[in-house]
Amino acid sequence: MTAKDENGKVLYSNEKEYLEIGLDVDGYMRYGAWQIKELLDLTLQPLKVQEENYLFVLPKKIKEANVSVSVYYKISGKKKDLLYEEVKKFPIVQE
Amino acid sequence: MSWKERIIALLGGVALLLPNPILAKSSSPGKAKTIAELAARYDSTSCKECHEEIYEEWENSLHARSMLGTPRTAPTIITAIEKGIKRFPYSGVKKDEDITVKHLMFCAKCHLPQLDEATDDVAREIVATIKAWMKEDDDDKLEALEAKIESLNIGCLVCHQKKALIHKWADGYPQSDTVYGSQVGEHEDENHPKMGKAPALGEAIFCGQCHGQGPNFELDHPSQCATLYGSYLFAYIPEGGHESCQDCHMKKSGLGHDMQAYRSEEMVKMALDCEVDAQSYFWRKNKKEGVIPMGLVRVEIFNKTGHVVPDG
Ligand code: HEC
Ligand code: HEC
Ligand code: HEC
Ligand code: HEC
Ligand code: HEC
Repeated sequence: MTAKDENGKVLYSNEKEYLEIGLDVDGYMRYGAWQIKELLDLTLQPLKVQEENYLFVLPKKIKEANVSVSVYYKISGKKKDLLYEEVKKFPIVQE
Repeated sequence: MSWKERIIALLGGVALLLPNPILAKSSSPGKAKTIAELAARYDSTSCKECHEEIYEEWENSLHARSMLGTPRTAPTIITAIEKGIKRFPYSGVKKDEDITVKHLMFCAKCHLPQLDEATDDVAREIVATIKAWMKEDDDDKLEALEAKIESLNIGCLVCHQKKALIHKWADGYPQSDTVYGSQVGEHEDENHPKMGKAPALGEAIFCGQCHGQGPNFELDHPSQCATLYGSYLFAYIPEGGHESCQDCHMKKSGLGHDMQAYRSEEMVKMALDCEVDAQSYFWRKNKKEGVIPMGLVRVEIFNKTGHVVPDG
């Protein structure tokens, strides 16, 4: 998730990852099918809504921010496939 | 011949006299002795002339390259051997020559279930072939080695024969002259002249045989790879989900036998619903800093699939 000002300057950016973490019996992170004994499950669960809130300070005098949210499927860090993307403008008005 | 072998031979003789359906399979050809033999036994190209569309769909799926993978699978199997099996003190494997079918089954259970119909020589040939492929620089040779690894796959007969009947006490044991689907009768294919009924082929449990529930406890060293069927059973179903794997992956997607995931546009569309909502407010912090504009962005991601995203 990234918020930018009118000129494309990044105001705020944050990232969340959903994954299964394989662990061995000593609590070390493991990737191999021959090593994994326990799991930490941080995945998106079926038929459930995952809610994220991002709260951040904006610069003064800003009038508008562009918020873009992208959801990627990542394989071993390097490669990523876009699953979803949305870009929204929202005005910031002080009464 | 030692007395031990003699007793086995004798028991074999007795068993052959019994009209036992369980033994029918053992009268079929013995174990495949080479990769080529195993690949030929499970060859899908002979089905192509009559089931062309299905063949072409299947050909594009990862099932058609279940040992090679994307191609991450083949190298990972080698890592499992080098960093896993060879280092485990009780595996009995110190060098490649010690590898047997039983060792490879901790991956092949799902990536190549028919390996249990091959000799230990085939297990070693697979390892040698993957290693040669990983080292090869010459393009032509590389392609030939890759084709050899790809010839080992989850083809038509793996699903429509070997893994087709799940509840074997009720539905029987798969026969090598039969393809299993929804009908019973004659099949035009001369090598498989019969059609038989596979009652669970259209159900999630059929895919569950390989798509995993957790550790594979029946193995001496339980491996854990895919656990997606576990999520389907214990997370999706309890939430009221009622579609089968086939409903989403074969029918709604329109992909048929080209079972896909996030690499396909059709599946991506079916995966997640996202909602983005943004608002701002003003925080009167203190006299010195004055009013500070704040941004709040809410994102809601709804998983529409039948299981966790991602798996593994
Ligand atoms: C000479 C042509 C021919 C060849 C070769 C052939 N099939 Fe068939 N197959 C048919 C026909 C025709 C049907 C019947 C279709 C129908 O009635 O719906 C059929 C039906 C089937 C069915 C049952 C479908 C159902 O709805 O129950 C399966 C499964 C099947 N074939 C698998 C295979 C496999 C696997 C191979 C390769 C090993 C193969 N076939 C090779 C012609 C062929
Ligand atoms: C319970 C069955 C099962 C076992 C046992 C199993 N796998 Fe898998 N594996 C799968 C399935 C199904 C997938 C693909 C689906 C998914 O990712 O959810 C997969 C995916 C993979 C992938 C990623 C695929 C790709 O093409 O990128 C790799 C690598 C892999 N397995 C390696 C292994 C290794 C190595 C072993 C043995 C140590 C093993 N698997 C044991 C079922 C299994
Ligand atoms: C991963 C498992 C799998 C593989 C591999 C596979 N099938 Fe199927 N096939 C299925 C399932 C599951 C169905 C039934 C779908 C349903 O009823 O919901 C099916 C249905 C069929 C049918 C009957 C329905 C139809 O779509 O016409 C035929 C014929 C068939 N398959 C032929 C083949 C052939 C030929 C191949 C190889 C090119 C093949 N299958 C490979 C799982 C598989
Ligand atoms: C005989 C075991 C087996 C059966 C039965 C089976 N699969 Fe698979 N499937 C695999 C393996 C192994 C892979 C991963 C191959 C690789 O990349 O290494 C896979 C891959 C897949 C993928 C691709 C995943 C990706 O990451 O792109 C999908 C989707 C899939 N299977 C769906 C199904 C569905 C739906 C069924 C039931 C109709 C089914 N499979 C039946 C073993 C099986
Ligand atoms: C409600 C529809 C639906 C059902 C039911 C469903 N799937 Fe999926 N599946 C999807 C969608 C959409 C994706 C693509 C998103 C993704 O790749 O994570 C997917 C992804 C996958 C993947 C790739 C997962 C990964 O992260 O590597 C596999 C493998 C798979 N499904 C197999 C199955 C099997 C096996 C079943 C039955 C036990 C099943 N699916 C049931 C819709 C469904």
